[in-house]
Amino acid sequence: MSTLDQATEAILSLLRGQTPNVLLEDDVCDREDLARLFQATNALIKGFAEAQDFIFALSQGVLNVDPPHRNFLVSSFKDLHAHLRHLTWQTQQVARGDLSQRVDFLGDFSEAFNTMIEALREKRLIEKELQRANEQLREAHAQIIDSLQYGRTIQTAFLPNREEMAAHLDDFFVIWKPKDVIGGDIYRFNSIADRFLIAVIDCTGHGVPGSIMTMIAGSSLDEARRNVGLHDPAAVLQELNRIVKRALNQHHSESPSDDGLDIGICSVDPEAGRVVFSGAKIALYCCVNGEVREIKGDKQPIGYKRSNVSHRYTNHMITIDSPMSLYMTTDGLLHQIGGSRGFPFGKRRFIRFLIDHWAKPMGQQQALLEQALESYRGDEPQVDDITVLGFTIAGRRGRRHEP
Amino acid sequence: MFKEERTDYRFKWADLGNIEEGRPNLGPTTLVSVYRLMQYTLRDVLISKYGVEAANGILVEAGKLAGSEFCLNLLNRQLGFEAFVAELQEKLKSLNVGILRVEKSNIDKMEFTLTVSEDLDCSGLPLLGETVCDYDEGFIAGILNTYTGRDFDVKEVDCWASGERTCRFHVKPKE
Repeated sequence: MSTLDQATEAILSLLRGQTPNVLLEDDVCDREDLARLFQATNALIKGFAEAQDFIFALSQGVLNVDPPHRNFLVSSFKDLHAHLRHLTWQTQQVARGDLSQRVDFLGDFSEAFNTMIEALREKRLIEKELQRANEQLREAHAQIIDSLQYGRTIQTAFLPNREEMAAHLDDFFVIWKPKDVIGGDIYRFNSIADRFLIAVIDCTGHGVPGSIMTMIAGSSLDEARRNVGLHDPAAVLQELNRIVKRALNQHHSESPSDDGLDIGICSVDPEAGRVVFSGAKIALYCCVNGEVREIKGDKQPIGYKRSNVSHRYTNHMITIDSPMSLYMTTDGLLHQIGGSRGFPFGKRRFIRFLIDHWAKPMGQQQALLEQALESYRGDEPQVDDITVLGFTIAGRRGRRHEP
Repeated sequence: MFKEERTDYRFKWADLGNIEEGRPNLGPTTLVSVYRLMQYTLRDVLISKYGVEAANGILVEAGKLAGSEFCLNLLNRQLGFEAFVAELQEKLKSLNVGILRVEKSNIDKMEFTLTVSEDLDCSGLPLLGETVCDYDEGFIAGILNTYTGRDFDVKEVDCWASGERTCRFHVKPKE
């Protein structure tokens, strides 16, 4: 092949996208013009080979190759290469959380990238706002919990002294389990000489409003007891109704309060073996010789605008000849959802429990009842405050459980 | 103030003068070609008087002094590195100095590869087959030195004048 043909073929190969072999310049060393042609063709072959390698790497997204120096065949690709390297760095910065970068003079990509950065900045601002709000909420929540815990301390202090109760009762247990930290259930115990008065109270609501109601209920009961004495629980309830309605201004139609309470109250004379029970929507369960007798309270609650202040509550006289266990419970126990079908715990199940366990020591009964309740509740949440009070009266014929 | 015999540098930003007052009609800007006219005639004289190496050294040193003053007077040195670079990019763009971009960075080692496109000193120059942005090398080193308190080696590896489309600088702390 002639030297000119070699050069021509090499250029045609380049046009076909193929890199030819370098031309041997020694072949034309005697012709200066052909030597220059061979040198230029070889420079073109070298530049083409470099360009091909560089562009191929670029097309594969490989950016860590250095662009060929002094090679003008790929000038625009070098620009693209530099831009892509920069964009890669920018993207890495963004991934690390640096939103201070922006891209300029890269056409549509600049606008898209900068819009994305702006959106991320706004998102970060919103996240910071949310974080701040979350911290404020957490702080407020902590304050509320602290406040509730202190409220529980006060509410617990408001409950009867257990030692005082133990001094008057042969045996007893109390389950006091507010749905929240504090609750709307309370129990009371007062004694004068050998007689004592014991009560279970379920106020409207639970949590903070319920606990406020317990303060009103407890102090009102104390006032009612002072006004009418311990002997007549029905009179105590009527007086309590009057005091609560007055305390909540329910005698005024515009009063915002339509709150009240259910209560079961026993006036007990242990030596005489006599219990007088009166209830407002709370029953007394009397267990003796394996039988349970339910004495229902009146349907008239205490407080609420609709209650009749003139209503005479009913006294129920119970004479205790042989050891008897007595129980009062708020509806939190009876209404607790659970079991395989999600039904309430219910009165029948409670009575069944009493029949099975009434003769056991009260501490044991408490443990068994709590266990039965937890087992029945399963994963269901506690739906209401729960208070169950059980106590034993030995009766006139002697004491069943020796202290 | 300026033209006394001495061996230390005394340039202050205030020496640039009150341009607004001094050029109420012509304003604060001029043509790139006028800037280059000054730089390349000065370089020409420096080379002829002191040789290429010394001339390059003088330009690097002058760039370093300029970069340091630029950083002290126009940049917020309290920013974190990423935000500082972003501000520097923005400042160089708004002053029409060039488009600074970062290609690689290793913050732990403080090593970077930077590019400057549409560079004030060189973009559009005829093909010279050599890098010419000595002043830029010093300028970048001066900025980073003033920002970090460390000395940097800045080497231009690609330049418009050497046939590339963008100037590329390798930056690393001085050993």
